[in-house]
Amino acid sequence: MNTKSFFTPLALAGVSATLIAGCATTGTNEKLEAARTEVNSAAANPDIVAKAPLEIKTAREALDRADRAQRGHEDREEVDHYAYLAQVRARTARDYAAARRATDELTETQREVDRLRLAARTREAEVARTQAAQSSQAASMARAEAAAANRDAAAERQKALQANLEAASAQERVLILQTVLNEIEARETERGLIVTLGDVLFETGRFELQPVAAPRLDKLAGFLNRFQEKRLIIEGYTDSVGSDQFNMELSRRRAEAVKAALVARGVDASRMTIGAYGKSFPVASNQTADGRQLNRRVEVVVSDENGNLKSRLSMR
Amino acid sequence: MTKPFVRAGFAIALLSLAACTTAPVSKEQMAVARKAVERAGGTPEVAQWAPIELDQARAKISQAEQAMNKMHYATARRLADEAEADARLAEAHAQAMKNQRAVAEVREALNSLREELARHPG
Repeated sequence: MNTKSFFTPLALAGVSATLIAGCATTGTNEKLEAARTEVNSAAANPDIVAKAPLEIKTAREALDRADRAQRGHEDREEVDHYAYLAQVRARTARDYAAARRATDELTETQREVDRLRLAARTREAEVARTQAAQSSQAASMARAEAAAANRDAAAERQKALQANLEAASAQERVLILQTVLNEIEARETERGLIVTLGDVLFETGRFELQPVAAPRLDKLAGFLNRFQEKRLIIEGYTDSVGSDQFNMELSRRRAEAVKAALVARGVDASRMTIGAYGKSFPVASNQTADGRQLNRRVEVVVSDENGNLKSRLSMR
Repeated sequence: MTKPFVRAGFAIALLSLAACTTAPVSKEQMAVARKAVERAGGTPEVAQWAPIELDQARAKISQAEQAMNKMHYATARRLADEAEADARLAEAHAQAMKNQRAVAEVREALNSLREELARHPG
């Protein structure tokens, strides 16, 4: 046998067949089928296909390559190799998709966090504003309370003065009373102390107090405020001009005008009673203008030391 | 007269060998795989979140280089390709884990923020 006879076509075909048989695999490849399941599963997921298209493509290519190797009876190692690549790339596609999904979610969640934080900050600012408004309100209330306290303190001082005065001896009281009575030109009469407010206090037919009445009303109010226990009857009178009914009404109004003036000067209204006598009880002649002016008057009857008041009605 | 048959026989034999070994691994392919593994290994998150995949990639690239030295080119090519695929999977996996962890943290912050807002309604 020479060397040429060794390389006969038949012999070469035999070698070739042996080599092919060495590469070939038979039956199904479990690794390939596992890879196919994983690649198909990933490729069937639209989210993975959208987020990792390149990885899906390379996984499919590897799977196709593995199938071709299997069909072409290539080396088992080659089929397994491409099956492995297909499987790993399918997993890579899945993980890339998960990573990108997480990124999207992160962006979205972060945006929501930012939105809520902004809302919280806005609300905190509003709360702060409200608190500031409330504290300024509290401050103004505190100021009002302080002012009220000052007023109370003033009232307390006034009360203390009053108490001092009340504590003064009876003699002193009589002296003070006398002085004040002189000031307001009070007269001792059978009905008790009477202060006559005449002297152009009213015009004919009118009941508004003239400005000249003010100083005497001030003094009378001062006296009444000093002697809180004193009660009054305020009696209105008129001259004889006009009807009886008109004059009765006019006299009542005059008495009320004086009462209102005393109330305005701090005398409690409950201490005062109104009396209206019209043209009755004149103190002067209605025949002359001077006489009529004297008759247009208000008399204030002051209760005695026992607190008794004698109205003209009670005198009858 | 037998010469054409001889040639045909040679051709079949060569094709069969080629089918088995395919193209030998290129230096470029090895370099790409090596670079992918190094990049994955140099990323702290990969070492933290995908240590198994990373170890596998490293083992395969060094095995590929050993096969290369022994001139087992087919094995070297397969190992290099698998190492590269493993390295990319390790990166993707680590990225997914890291992002999901971040999402969980932000979600937690969002929940506590919501609770806080619910406790102090405006």
